[in-house]
Amino acid sequence: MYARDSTASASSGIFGGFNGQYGGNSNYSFTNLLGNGIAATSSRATNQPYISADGAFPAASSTSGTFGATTWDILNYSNTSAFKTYLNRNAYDLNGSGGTYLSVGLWRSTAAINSVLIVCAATFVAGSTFVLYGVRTVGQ
Amino acid sequence: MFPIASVTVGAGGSSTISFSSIPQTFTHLELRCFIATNRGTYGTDNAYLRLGNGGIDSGSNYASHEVYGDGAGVASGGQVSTTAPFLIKTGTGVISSFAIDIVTILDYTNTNKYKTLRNIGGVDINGTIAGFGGIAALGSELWMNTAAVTNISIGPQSGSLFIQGSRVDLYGISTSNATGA
Repeated sequence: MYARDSTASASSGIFGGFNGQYGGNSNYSFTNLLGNGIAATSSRATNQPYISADGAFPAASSTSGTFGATTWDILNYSNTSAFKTYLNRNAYDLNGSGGTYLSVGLWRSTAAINSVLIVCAATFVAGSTFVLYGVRTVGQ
Repeated sequence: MFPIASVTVGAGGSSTISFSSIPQTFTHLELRCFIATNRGTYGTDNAYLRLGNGGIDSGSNYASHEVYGDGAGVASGGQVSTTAPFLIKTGTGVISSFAIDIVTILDYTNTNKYKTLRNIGGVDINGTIAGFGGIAALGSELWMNTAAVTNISIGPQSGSLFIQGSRVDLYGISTSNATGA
C-alpha cells in the first residue's frame, strides 16, 4: 500500500479487518514497535474490534505529495487449523517528522481469509495504490 | 520469487526444520516461517538458524543482534561467537497462535563474503502468560564463513520441538528477468 489520508491532521492511522470482521467483535490484538526520530516505543492492544496501525500515513496538513508505505504479510492465510498472525510494516517521512513502525497482529479465527478490508480516518486521496499479491509454495 | 522447498511439521512435532541441497541458481534466499515450539507456560520462544555447506556448521561461527518491543518497552540484545544464533521468534501454540518470521539471506552463493541474514517477525497472544503477551522484532545474523549456503537448520531454544502445524517455506530470488511467485 502507498497511501495518503484526507483527514485534517499531519498523519493518521490505517485500520482494517478480515472476512468482514470490522467492528462488532473483539478478535484482533497486536504488539507494536515504533520509532519516530525522538524515541523508540512499544505498545500492545488486546481484544480489539479491528486492525489498527496508528500514525501510519501522511494526511492533509503534511507536505503535499508525501505518501506512506505499508506492507501486510499474512502467512498461511488459508490454514483452517490455526489463528492468523500477520506482520504490518509502515513507514512515512515528512522531513522533520515521521515514523517507522512494525506491528505483529493476531486475528483469532481459524477461518481461511477470503477478504481484506482497509480503512482510513477519512478518505484515501487520489493516487493511493493498493496491490494484493499471492505467494505460492512448492507444488502450487 | 521462486518456491524451492517447504517443510510442514506433522503430528508428534519435530526437533528441527531443515533444508539441504539448496540449489545454487538463485541470488538470494527468503524463508517464510509460521512457527511455534512446545515451550510450556510462556507465550514465545526463540529459534536458532544455522547454515552450512555440505552439512550444518554447529561451531561458534555466528553472531546476532536484535531490537524488539514487547508492549512494555523496547530492548536490544546480541550474541557474539555463538553456536546458536537466535534469529527467529516463535509462538508456543498457546491459544493456537503461531509466530511469523520473514528471513532474508542475501548473496548466499557468494564465496567471497560472510553471510548476513535479516529477520522481521514476532507473535501476539492477546493477553499474557507469565507476563508475556507479544513481541515485534527486527533481527540480524552473521555467519562467519565464506562458503556458499547449501544447508539450513532451525531449532528451538527453550522448547524441545516445533509443534504440529509449524511450517517453513524456502524461496529463491533471482536477479534475472524471469517471472516467478
